[in-house]
Order: sequence, then C-alpha cells, then structure tokens
Amino acid sequence: MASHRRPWVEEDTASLRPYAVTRGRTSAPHHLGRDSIVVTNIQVRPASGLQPEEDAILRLAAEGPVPVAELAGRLRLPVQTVKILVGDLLGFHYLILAVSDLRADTDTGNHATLERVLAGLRRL
Amino acid sequence: MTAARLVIGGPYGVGKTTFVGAASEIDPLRTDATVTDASTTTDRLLDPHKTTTTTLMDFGRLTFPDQRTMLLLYGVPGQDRFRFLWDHLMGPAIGAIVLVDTRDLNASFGSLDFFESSGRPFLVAVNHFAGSDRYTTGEIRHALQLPDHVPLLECDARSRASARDVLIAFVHHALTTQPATLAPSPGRPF
Repeated sequence: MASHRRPWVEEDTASLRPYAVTRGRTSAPHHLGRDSIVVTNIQVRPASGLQPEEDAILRLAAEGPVPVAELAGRLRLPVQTVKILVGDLLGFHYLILAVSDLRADTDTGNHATLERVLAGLRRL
Repeated sequence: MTAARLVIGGPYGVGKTTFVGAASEIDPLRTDATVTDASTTTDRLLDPHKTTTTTLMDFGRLTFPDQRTMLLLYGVPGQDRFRFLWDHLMGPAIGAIVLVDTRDLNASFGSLDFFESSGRPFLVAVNHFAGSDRYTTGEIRHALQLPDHVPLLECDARSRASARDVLIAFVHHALTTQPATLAPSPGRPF
C-alpha cells in the first residue's frame, strides 16, 4: 500500500493508472458531467470490498452534496475516471444523484437558478 | 437541487486562483479539464481516432442550503492558447467574470474578445495589486475599449467580501441582460 502514501504528481494522471481504477473502462454514463452533484445514500450500507477510491467518494459525499469536479480534485484523479466510479456507485444506490449535469440549452440563463444564487450570496 | 457554473477568466497571473480561493467555501482544488477532439496538441494513447488535451484549472464552490443551490467556480488558464478550453467550459455556464490587472491591460484583450464574442453575460473586475496605479473606472473602460453594457468594477481578489460583491454584481448583470424566457444559446457547443 506504499503507493498510496506517495505524494501525487501530475504525471500520474497522464498514465494509465486512472483506467486501472476503472478496470480499463474509459467511457462514463452520458448524464454525468463535471458539474454533476452526488450525495451518499445513508440508507444503503455498502458491501465490503470496494476500491479505496470508491470508499473515498462515499466518505466525501457523506459530508454533503459534492460535485464530480471536486471529487476529482480531492482524489487527484481525472474527472472522466471519477465519472465512471460515480456511475458505478449510483448503480449500486450507494450514491444519490442530486444534480445530473448542466446543459447549455437549459442552464445558461435560467432565471430561477440565478435568483437562487443571488439570494444565497446575499445571505453570506 | 440545482447548480450553476461560473467561469473566472483573465490573463495569466491576474489573480484567478486567489479569487476562486477567496470566493469559495472550500479550499480551492485543482481539477483537470480534458477536452476531446480539440484542435491542439494530441494524445493518441487511449483512442487513436480522437485528440485529447488535458490541463488543470482551479475549482471552488459555494453551497446555499436554503436555496438548495450550489455555485461552481472554475478558474481557467489564462493563456490565449487555452481558448478552446474556455469555449468548452462556457457551454453550460451562466457567464464569466474576467479579472484584469491595470499594470498590464494589454494582456486582457484576448480574454475580453473571447468573452464578448461568447454572447454570455460577463463583467470585468479590476484586481488591485499593491503598488498598482489607481485609475478611474472610466479611464480603465476607455483603455480596454469596453462597451457600456459590460459592467466594470474594482475588487481585491484576496478578500472574501470583495469576491462576494463581484459575484453579486455578476448575477445582477446576468439577470438583467438575459430574457426571462430562455432563448437558445448562440451556437456554443458544449
């Protein structure tokens, strides 16, 4: 397990290691993007034997809704890899999808969303 | 729950990472931006038929639990050669904040041209550095040849309150410039 204690270096993401984590898969579910937000489903107890990266995702998403981009940053894995893992965990119902993904045709000028953001910012 | 993406742009070294850090409720992270089929340097390792470019960008966020909404902030690399990435990230974004530094306004023109042509709401925030000359916003607007409809304000990218004021100004601007009934975006593929 010594490899897990090594500090992450950028070269790691360029290697094939992220695709070992996904057991060689390179394509993620289409409805997931870097802005997709997930939260751990506390009603389902995960089976043992998950990969360390999957455990880490479930721990992080247990603290509250967390975007895929943030999971990737914290785990130091490519967004694409995290999308694949998140897709698996959603399939097992270990995660709940709070926001699927943002779309150019519906999310760019949505007044309701902008009003919510404004109200939230004003309360900071 | 809903989410909104906001892009933080501007030239290299202008304070984008600092701004994302000041605005975000979490310590800013680095996350990768991988764009497939971008017409730039190639990485044919995974799929010989596709070209893939990867770079890192800053990520931060603000959660508004009462509103069941999260604001996602992406600080994008400033060099003009990353335009394809700005384009990619602007797809589902509510708009952009462009930071400028009065010590090198010329470096801002690439970013300003891009975000102006994107057709999305954006505003310009002048990040004040210690020792930078103070100009009036009128002088800066003139020097940047910035149209009147683009808001220009001053900020301190290190300050949480200042970053928040910039975010509020942006959302105000986005609400006033976009029609309430959503029109399709002008040909910006994601």
